[in-house]
Amino acid sequence: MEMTMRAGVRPDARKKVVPGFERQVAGYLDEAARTLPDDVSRRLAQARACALAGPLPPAQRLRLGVLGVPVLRSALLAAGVVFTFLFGQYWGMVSQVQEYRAVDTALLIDDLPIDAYLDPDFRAWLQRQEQES
Amino acid sequence: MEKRAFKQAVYALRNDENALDAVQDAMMKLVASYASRPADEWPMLFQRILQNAIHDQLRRQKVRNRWVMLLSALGLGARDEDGVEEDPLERMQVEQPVSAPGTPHGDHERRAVLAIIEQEVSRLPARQREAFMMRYWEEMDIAETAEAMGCSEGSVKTHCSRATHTLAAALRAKGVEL
Repeated sequence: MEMTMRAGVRPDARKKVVPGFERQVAGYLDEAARTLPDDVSRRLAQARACALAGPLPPAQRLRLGVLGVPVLRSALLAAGVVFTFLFGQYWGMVSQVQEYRAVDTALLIDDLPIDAYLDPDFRAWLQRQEQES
Repeated sequence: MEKRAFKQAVYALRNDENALDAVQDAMMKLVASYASRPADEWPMLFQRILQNAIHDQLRRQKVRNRWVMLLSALGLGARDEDGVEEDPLERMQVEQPVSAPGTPHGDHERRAVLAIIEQEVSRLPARQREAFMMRYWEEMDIAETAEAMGCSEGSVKTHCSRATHTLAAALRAKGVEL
């Protein structure tokens, strides 16, 4: 893919479509683009060559920013996995405690079945409890 | 092409390194995703990708700037008596008329005007700057600009008109008449 889109100054063409003030501003901006520092021009040329050559290998892309996106993405992914694991553990524990609590509550508030009062052993146990208290 | 894209990114991001990253990302995405598209669509596509890359960089810059603001709050950085950051370009006044280029004095004045223009372009609201750059610097037509900016043609005209008026007023205020 050849990148040759409207590069450089085209004062004649610009005269036809761009009004006076805007044309003069554009002329100054052309000058600013022409007079970039050498190191910036060199890096831009390298970037252009890289783009035309195809995608950068991962190791090269890591050097692009202070916090390269791939590094950040991996860190976020790892943090997500750890968080999911810990949350799963916590949720399991909370569910188990709630289950025990529900069983205990049901046992405590349930009415005594009528058959219990007909059971001689239960009556004996009640009398023994009264004597002890 | 990449030099003009770089300058556009610098005006928006005000940071050379981030601007270089944005331009590189934009060129790579253009080649990777749109190489098969007709060549006359490339300028519009490239501008759209570039603006998106610039917006991405701006979002990242915002996160980083929180730390910079913390340092500024501690009193670092050049400030004048009123606590306002000094800007050397604010002090530059250009006498009228600007001398012809070619002489040392003329070159110096031209550089001064260029610095003021770049500063004022950088200060334009983002959408106005994008529209102005695409229409008058990249010489895209209104339909192309609207497509690249993802807005209506009417909005492009409004942005361009406002940008021109804002820029002209700002330059006049600094003694620059084009």
